[in-house]
Amino acid sequence: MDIHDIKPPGTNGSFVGADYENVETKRSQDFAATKDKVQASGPEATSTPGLSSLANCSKAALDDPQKLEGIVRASVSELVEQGQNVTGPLTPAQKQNLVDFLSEDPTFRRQVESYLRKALV
Amino acid sequence: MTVKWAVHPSSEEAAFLLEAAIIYREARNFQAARDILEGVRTLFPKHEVPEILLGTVEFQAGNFDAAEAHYQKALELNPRSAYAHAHLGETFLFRKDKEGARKHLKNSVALDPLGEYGKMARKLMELTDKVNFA
Repeated sequence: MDIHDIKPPGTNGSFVGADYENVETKRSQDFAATKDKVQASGPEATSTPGLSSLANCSKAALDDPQKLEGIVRASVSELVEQGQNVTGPLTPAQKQNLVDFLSEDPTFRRQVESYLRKALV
Repeated sequence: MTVKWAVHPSSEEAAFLLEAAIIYREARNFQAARDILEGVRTLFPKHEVPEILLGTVEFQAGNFDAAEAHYQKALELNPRSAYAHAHLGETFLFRKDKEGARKHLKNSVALDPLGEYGKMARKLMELTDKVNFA
């Protein structure tokens, strides 16, 4: 199988599925909503983080390297789950690889940690 | 001497890279998204999808000229891409070129009348008809 099996939406392709636009739109809305929440940034806004995996996390946990690692991975995993239908369903192994890749990217990790410090109380 | 590519990524690996690029794009880490997509484009130079996604990165970064160039290139690779026509129409609309927008949005609807891109293009056409750039 190669990328030439990939067909754009509307041509019965599988790689970039017909639900691409829905997922893309949804992801943009999710991201915008999350960003708005952070930018709205009163203390009230920060009490409702955009990622459900953060529901039971506190800002204090970010000072513990082990807990921080777990929270970052949970957040990245949720981002991957939200959007992983863009190219068709990913296998659990592919999702895990994506989470590992993004969690270990220092730049992306800084973005996530920065978001967490704003979003958690 | 003929040099052949030693790298033959599978569609699963390409999916991994495209997903990573899209997440970077949504995080507004545009350079990381570009780097990945340019790599995928190098590996798959005849496929329009990486080119279109590069266009969406530039669009989100506000670089409409660059976005248009990517979508046009995608249409050179696949003139029947409703996906590229829809995004190109959207880019023309954001550049206040209503006629250019209509042309590509109509093409998208014609190519994908029942699909998501036709639907997206129809919504953008409605917006094109309503908006007044005076």
